[in-house]
Amino acid sequence: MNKVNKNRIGIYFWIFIAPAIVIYFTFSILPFLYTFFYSFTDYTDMNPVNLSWVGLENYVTVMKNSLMRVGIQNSLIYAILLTGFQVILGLPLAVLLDQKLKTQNLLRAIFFFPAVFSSLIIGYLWKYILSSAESGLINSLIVSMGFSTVNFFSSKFALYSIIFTQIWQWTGWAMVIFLANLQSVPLELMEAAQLDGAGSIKRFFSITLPLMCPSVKIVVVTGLIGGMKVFDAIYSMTGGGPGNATQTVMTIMMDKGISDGFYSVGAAFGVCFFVVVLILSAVVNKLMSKWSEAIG
Amino acid sequence: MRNLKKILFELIMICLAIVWFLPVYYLAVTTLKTQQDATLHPLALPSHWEFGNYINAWVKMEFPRALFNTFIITVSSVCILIFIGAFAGYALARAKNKTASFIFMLFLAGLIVPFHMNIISLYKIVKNMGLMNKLLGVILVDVAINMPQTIFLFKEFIENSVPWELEEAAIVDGCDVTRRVLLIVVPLLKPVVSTTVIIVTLNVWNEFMTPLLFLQSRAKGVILQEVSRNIGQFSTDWATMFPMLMLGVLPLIIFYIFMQKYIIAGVAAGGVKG
Amino acid sequence: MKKKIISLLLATTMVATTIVGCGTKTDSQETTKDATATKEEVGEQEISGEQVTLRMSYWNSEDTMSALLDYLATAVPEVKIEYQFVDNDNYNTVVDTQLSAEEGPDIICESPGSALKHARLGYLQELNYLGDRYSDAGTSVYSYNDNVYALPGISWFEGIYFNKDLFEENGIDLPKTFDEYISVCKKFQEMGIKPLAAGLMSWEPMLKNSMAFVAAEYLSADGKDFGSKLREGQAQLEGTWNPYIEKWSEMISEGIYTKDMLGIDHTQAMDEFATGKAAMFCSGPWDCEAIMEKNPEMNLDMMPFFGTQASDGWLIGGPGCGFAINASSKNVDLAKKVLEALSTNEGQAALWENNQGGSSYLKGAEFALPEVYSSASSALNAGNVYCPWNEWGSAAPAHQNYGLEFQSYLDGQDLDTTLTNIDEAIQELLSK
Repeated sequence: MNKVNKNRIGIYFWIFIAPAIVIYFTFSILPFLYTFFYSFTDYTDMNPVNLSWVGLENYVTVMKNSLMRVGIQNSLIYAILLTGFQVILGLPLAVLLDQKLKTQNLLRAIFFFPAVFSSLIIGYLWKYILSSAESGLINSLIVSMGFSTVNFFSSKFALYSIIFTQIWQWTGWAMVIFLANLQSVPLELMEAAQLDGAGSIKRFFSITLPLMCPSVKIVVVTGLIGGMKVFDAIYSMTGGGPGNATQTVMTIMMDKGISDGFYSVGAAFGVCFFVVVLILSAVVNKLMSKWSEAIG
Repeated sequence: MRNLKKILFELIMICLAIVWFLPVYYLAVTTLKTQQDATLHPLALPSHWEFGNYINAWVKMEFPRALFNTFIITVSSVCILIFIGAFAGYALARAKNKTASFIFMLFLAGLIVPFHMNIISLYKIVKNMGLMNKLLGVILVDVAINMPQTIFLFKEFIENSVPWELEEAAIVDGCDVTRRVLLIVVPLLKPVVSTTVIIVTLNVWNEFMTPLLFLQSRAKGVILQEVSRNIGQFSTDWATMFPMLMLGVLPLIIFYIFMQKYIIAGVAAGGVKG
Repeated sequence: MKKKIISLLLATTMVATTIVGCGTKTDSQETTKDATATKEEVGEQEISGEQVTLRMSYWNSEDTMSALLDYLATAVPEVKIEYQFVDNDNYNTVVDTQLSAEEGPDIICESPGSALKHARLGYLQELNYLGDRYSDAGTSVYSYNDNVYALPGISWFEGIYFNKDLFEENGIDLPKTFDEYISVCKKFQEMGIKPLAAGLMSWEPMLKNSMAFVAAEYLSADGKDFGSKLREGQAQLEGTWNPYIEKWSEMISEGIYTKDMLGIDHTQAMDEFATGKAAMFCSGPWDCEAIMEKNPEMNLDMMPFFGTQASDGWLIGGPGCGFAINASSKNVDLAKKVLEALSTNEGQAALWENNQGGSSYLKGAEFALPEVYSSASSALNAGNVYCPWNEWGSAAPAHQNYGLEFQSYLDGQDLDTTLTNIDEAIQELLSK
């Protein structure tokens, strides 16, 4: 008979986990190790075979490169704004749709709907809708109201236009997660507050919000990580342009690190990025835990 | 008074939902119009229904083939992931030692690594394994990409919702691990399986880079590759592209309409636990 | 149902256990390898019969090659060409990764820049005996160490399409110099007609437009050796191109290129032109069909770009995509057969079919210039077709940086920074 110890399943642990490890090692860990190794070599498309060790040279190049700083900055702006709006819009939306309405299910379905699509397709669609040509839907509406056209893809606006479309796409996703959290909030608590005569807004801040901590944490952490890695949405709408106004970490990695053939510099950039995101998510995790402790 | 307020509130929410839905409506309605009609009355219903666009798109993107490939890749990835995720998740949930938590951290780190960073090395590995231009290659890579999330979901679920006490009782009866997993644990996994099916289906179906890199011949291509064919060096053929975008998402829309309840519940479950 | 699932799970567990039982990772790799290998054999027998499949990759859609593909199917019946389209943004990534993994296409369509790179790395088959059939003007951009590595396709050129009716109805004469061109644009502006439609969401239009002006003013005169010097790292844009770009910037200061255009893509700009809302549109033969399709009534013509002095005008252009053979292809001989069929009058005619307007570099193959290009014929006849970055060697990809920096320039970045940034990109590429 098995004795209950720390590892409750003995050798079966390895048997059960082996398929996962084999695939994960081959297609995720091994490539990462390779990339890590390349980041210390002079690997480019012109020098693909006789690699020599160059130490930290590629990392110095990354630190000096102003474009890569722009990329990290844009990715950060993107991740923070997108995540912020997902919470700011998704949370009230979830509270509103938590009430008993006849069309409750339909409404939830509609707000969630855009999340079903590929960001690539959403990107192509919005590129057309936001175009400053007369065929662009928004601009044709603006013109028909008697204003002059607005260029949503100028250097100043382009990044924010993209963020806007992604807020549209992903708010529903956040809303659904918040909804699930809301439904686990005990009804008695809410009713008690109502009896105390607390208004609905006050009720939201004093009771609902603190209890939403777990779901907010999820949306923030996954949103930030996903946001830092954004590629499809940028690629389909602006490709990083105009100029370098919407270059993000991933578009630069594709352009410079792969398409232009600076493989080893791209690898070093990737490693730096990995470290940045690792730290970022650790910090966010810490902050969120502090928040829940403070409430708890 | 209360009732009136409620109705008013519902009406406002409906209006908001309509605005929210407008872009999708615009995409759908544009594909059913002639180009002139589309420029003159962008938001009106078509003056006459034009299905020719769809027939063109269907033929041009070799839709049945692209759909078939996308379908095979998605379904296989989902099946492999559920099988692997269930066993690995169980192992990680039940073994509480340093090795297990190290392996779990290793999987979690995969959530942070961007796929694009490893393209060059991944390409070499896939090539050396003879998996180039094979659906299996894309399937395995997609499985690896989605593995961290899947294992996370299964591990958390088993830890929190499949009590060890159930198994202890079985141990007394002389059940070994394999039988316990199959007879006791697996039947309880339904919620997490449905969550995984949904999240992975959406991820894999919408994945663009892996098929682009690892499938060379058109016969193996997936829907998104066909859509991207309309992006020429200089111009994008919007007239053909819109119906293709629509055809590209149609299977997902159908999946969504039928599975809507489960999808929303699934994402929610994955979210709160995840 | 439940029983079924359980037995299925049992079976898979057993498989998993046996794999682990074998121990190492390589074992499982090999089993998958074997399994897929057999599948592949069966597949090939089923599909091809006698035919051998050769893969050809290109960054333009299959439609732009349809006549050639049809021709090749009859001219080289033993070969079945599998056309792999990869969009322009991903083309280098996909082809480079494939080549480095020895999985490249058999026949590769190359730009001069990528051909040079691939030739240096030894990825390409030398094609001298076929290259001899072409004129030097075509093969020079595809040569490396005196060997020809790609066969030049039908030439491409970009000029300024214009709506003849709009010019005639309003009594506007065709310009002969840059200043006249600017005043023509102003006249259209006064009449409330957009002079030039441009989809500046793409980085290409301003690249070509500005380079054509620099070509007319400098590169064809004092700066003839600029390209070769730049390639050696001995010339820079900053400090050399400034006066010309400053003059050219009238295109921006006169409101012909506007910031709004950064939000318009190429196709939408073409729509504006085709529907008569704009008088001119910079493009080449590849768009002719689409314009006429949108507006069959259009009275279309093309004029060249101009410098400040009266001249025949200049077009941006050069040899079209080069056809190269992957040296590690399993079917080099058959691929050569295909390119041999391409290097005949019939082959060039089929290629020309979808590129009408360009000229063939094959000796003895001549095609009449379609009427839509009549106002550009003087420039074409004078040989004033020039693609500056083709001379930049391994820095050729920097023409994209040039285009992107010009988007920033239009949006307010100053000229020195713009040119310095381009120089940096060039340096970076040369240092590789």
